[in-house]
Amino acid sequence: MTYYGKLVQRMNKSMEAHPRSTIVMDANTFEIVATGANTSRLARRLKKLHHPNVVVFQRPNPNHIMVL
Amino acid sequence: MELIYPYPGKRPVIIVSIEDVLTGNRYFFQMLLDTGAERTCFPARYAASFGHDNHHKDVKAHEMHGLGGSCKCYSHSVRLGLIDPVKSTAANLVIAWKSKLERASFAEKLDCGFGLLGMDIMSEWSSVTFSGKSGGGRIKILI
Repeated sequence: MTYYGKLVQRMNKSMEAHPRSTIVMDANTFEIVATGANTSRLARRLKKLHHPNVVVFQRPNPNHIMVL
Repeated sequence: MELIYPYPGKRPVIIVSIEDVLTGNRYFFQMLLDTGAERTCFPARYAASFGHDNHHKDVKAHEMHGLGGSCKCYSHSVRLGLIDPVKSTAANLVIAWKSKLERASFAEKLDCGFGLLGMDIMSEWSSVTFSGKSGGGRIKILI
C-alpha cells in the first residue's frame, strides 16, 4: 500500500475513534497530536504546538446528505 | 504527470496540502472535488487552524451564493498542493503540484469536515477523471 493509501486508512480509523471531534494528526508518523470538539480552541493549541505537517480533519456526519 | 488517488465512500475527496502563503507553514486537509463550485472554499471555522484570522483588519470579506442562500466569506492567502501518491513516503512527503492561485475563501455557512476544491483550481489541471461506485473509487488528475 502506498503512503497516501495508509494516510487515508489511518484518518478513517481515527474518525471512527473520535466521531465528534476535529482531529489533528502528524502526517509523517500518523500520531494523533490533538483532538477536540471546539475548533477555535484546537487552533490555539495547534499554534502553540507549532507542529509541522499536520492533517486537520473531522468525520462528516454520515446522516447528512450533502448538496454542494 | 498523472496522479491517481483512491477515495473511500460516496464522495470524491482527496487530501490536499494547504500552504499559508504568509508564513510558509503547511497543513493537510480533506477536499471534495466540486465541479459545481466556482471558487475553492473552506469552512470559516478552520481558518485559524491554518494560521489565519477571519477578523483581522486586513482580511477582505465577500459574499458567495449556494444552496443555503448567501453567506459571508473571508479571503485568505493560501496555496493548494497535490501530494504525489506514489513517490511520497512517511519520511518524505512529496508535493507534486502547487496552484498558481494564492487565495481561497473561508465560508461561514459551510459546515462540514472538508473543503470544496472548485473550478478556479481544477481549471489549472489538464484533466480530472472520476471512476468508481458508491463504495469508493479513484480520481485521476493530469497536470
